[in-house]
Amino acid sequence: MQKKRGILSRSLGIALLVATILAPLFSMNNAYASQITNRSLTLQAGATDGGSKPGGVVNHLFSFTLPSGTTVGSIQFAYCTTASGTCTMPTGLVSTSATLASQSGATGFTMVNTTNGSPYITRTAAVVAGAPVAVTYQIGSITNPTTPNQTFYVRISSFATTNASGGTTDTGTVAASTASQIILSGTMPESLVFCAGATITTTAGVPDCATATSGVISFNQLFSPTDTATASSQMVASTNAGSGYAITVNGPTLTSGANTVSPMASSAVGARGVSQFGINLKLNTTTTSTVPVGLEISVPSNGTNYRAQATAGYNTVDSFKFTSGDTVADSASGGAGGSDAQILTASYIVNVPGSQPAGTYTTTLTYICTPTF
Amino acid sequence: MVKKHVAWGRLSFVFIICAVIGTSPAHATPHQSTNYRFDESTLGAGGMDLSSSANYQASHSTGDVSVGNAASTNYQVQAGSKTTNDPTLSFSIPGGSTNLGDFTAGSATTATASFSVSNYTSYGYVVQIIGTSPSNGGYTLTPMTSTDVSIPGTVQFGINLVANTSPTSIGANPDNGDFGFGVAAANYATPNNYRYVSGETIAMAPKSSGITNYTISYLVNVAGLTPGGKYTSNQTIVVTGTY
Repeated sequence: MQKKRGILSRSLGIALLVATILAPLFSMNNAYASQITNRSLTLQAGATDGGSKPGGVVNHLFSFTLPSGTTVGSIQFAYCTTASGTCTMPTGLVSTSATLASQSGATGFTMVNTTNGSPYITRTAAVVAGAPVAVTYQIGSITNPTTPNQTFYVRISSFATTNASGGTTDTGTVAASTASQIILSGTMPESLVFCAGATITTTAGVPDCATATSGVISFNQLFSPTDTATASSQMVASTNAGSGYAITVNGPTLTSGANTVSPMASSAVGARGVSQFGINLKLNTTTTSTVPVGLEISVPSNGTNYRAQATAGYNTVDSFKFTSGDTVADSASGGAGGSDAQILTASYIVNVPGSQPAGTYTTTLTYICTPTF
Repeated sequence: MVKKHVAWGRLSFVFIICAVIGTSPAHATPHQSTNYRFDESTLGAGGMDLSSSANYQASHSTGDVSVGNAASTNYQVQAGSKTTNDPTLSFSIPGGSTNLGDFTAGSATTATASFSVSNYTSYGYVVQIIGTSPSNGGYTLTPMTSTDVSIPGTVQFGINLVANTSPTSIGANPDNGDFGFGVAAANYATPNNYRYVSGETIAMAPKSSGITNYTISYLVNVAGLTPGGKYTSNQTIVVTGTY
């Protein structure tokens, strides 16, 4: 009897010893998911929308470190309104168009986006070997939650299976937030400075319309078939119009009752003894008149902040033209654009034949500067 | 023989104790039932962050002898009962529409906007600003890609996140309250100096942080020839926390 008890006691002891040794080994099989570490979600701009724009179609860049020694066949990104507990998808979030735009670290994944709010990436299951692996996955074409300034959470879970089923291997949650966009606005007032007169001078080096004198001008001499009569007037133009300005001249030719001086319909050098009325915007030579008439544009254009130029027909030295409505100047030197103030000088010439009827010839010319903003 | 039996019996008892202890790892689990759950509960005075059921949620603490945050370069303690193991990040931009008014070549135009960030249980966060410089459709104000002061008459668009005295008294330093650790990024932290590079980090917190209120100061300078029109820009602020 005692012998039997001894055998029983010994057997029990050995059994307990074996159980004790093996129990921890079995307990190691408990499925405690490891923490995915160093994890973040960066909301990146999409094609047109800022990364955190509510309802914006953007890219979500996940960065984290996968623990080593685990088998990973799929990684799920579950979008939730809370970090834990029951997952409720944030309002407006759409992930069914999600793409796997890029991947690094543990690679070979493709996107499965069939379940809205819980896309996952899948690959042939493989062990994350060696040291913990820093990975990044850029999920493209995610529509952000539509509520402004809303915090939302993405629960990242890795699975040994390839379809994000079964127990999770490793988990970690990241938080992100939509944000109202800051809409910044301001107004640059449209500007145009334009004036005309017999003369205009500068103040502190800047053309100043306040110095413009009367617009009534007289020719330098009586009209004569043997010499060219000349006169000049000046204009100042400046604008911040993005497409610059254009200046037209408008009005009739010189007239005395029923008699007129013929306007120069095409650009030509002045010819004495011929009825001609024309203008240009150049510094002319004695080819035109005994006393040179006109001035070049001042300040000279540089193609950047000074852009004034005489236009075709009115931009050749000693050649003149007059057609009412013509553009005589614009701010397209170096490309159309705004221009700081410059002085433009219009030169007028009159030639007459010996038969030109006597009288006082006058005209009123109107210069119009039109900026295009 | 009887002694041997006693010895085996004692050994078995020891093994049983060891087995029980060895197979019971100390995993903290939430106290919960079907209808109710306590998160982060502890024994002792106070110490419970969230308790909830389907229709009820509370956040509470009692009897703390110390509450607050102590931190050094390599160390940070958040004392008190309100702790949670979940990541939290909150972000808000009140208003959202900022009007700079009319530009003039003779003087700078300024405006402010604000946002706030809190991010607990994290290794900190970074804040980026993304968006183009204001444009009227055909012309875009030149962004200040190098940090510089305001120069009236020169086209400039820049921001910073600190209190300024030039070109006017505008802006504010980050307001960290009691528990915030947010700071303006170096490029945007010098008073009276402005800069704007889309995508750059403009603020950050090097560690878990309570609410920090930031003020963005906007600076616009224009030239006389800056094309006229209404200039607009949509600025997106992105906060990224690391957990």
